[in-house]
Amino acid sequence: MHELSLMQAVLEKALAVADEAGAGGIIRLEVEVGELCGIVPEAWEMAFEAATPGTPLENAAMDWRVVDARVQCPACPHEYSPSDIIWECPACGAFGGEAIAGNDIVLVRLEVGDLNASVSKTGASRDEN
Amino acid sequence: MKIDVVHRVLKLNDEFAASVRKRLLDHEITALNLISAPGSGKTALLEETIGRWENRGQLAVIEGDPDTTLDAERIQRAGAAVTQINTEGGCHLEANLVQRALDNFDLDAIELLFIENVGNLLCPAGFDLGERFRVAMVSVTEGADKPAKYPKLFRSCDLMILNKSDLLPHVDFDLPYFEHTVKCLNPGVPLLTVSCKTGEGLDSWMEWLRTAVASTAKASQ
Repeated sequence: MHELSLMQAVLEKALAVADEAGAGGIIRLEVEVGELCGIVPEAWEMAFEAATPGTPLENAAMDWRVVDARVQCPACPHEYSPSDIIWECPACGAFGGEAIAGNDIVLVRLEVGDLNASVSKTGASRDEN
Repeated sequence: MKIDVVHRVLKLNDEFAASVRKRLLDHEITALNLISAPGSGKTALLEETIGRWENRGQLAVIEGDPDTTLDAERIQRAGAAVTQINTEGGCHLEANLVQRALDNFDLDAIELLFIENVGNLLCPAGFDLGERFRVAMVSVTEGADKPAKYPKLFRSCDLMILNKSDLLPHVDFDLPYFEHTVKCLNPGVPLLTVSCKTGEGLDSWMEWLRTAVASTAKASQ
């Protein structure tokens, strides 16, 4: 369920950036989702579908990828990608630690363009059908 | 045209959380973010706590629920200052809601603030509310596998409470497995076993709270 509120935060930022750049529309968003964020892929994509109609993001596509977790061992200098929910340092065997990657959702990049061009293209393909 | 953005989505929440944390520390208030599944006994624990605290006037509770003011009414009857946040279906509290809720209290009068999060083991774990301590609670009827299923919360908590211990003889709760998982996920986290029914473990809980309050007073100096 938190997918929707996180998605809304992504979209708000995207709209603000596009607006600031004076862009006609948003064609594509690139988003990174940390493995530890508890994001369910289907819910994430559904949130995008649900939150974009009626906004300048209506015809935008979302490219997103999962960023693997990285853990800093609490006992030795080793950093590692955990393979289990129990974080056990492969170098020294210590449990726990701090996540140094995989905990964030990041709006990485926007592809912007002329919204009217994008809409008319969609319209044209509909006419052909 | 491509525009590089690189914007952390949780940055806004983290900024609100930092502002809440500073505001609370300025007033020497110890805030706890209490997270558990629905029905594990968060409100019952708070009722017991309010009844046992030396000065109820120093306690405040922010109640987070999708709907109704039922829990806030219980807290009010128990004698603490309370404000209700209805998330209208939202599954967790965010720091901006807490920031706004603080306006409803006389912060100079409060020394201990409980933020009872929306009943949910998953989503609240991702949102810092500006609390000083995060407390995770499981009741024995939920099963011993909860820490393994919701590791993010149990990795990040400062205290772990196992509630409804009076029901242990009646349910198949694998206590050694539970303790082992908690220890592996979050080495060194204190684990309190309590029952709001029999009062078991509540003295230890009150002691933990007093120590927490004392540590805030020290930190704010």
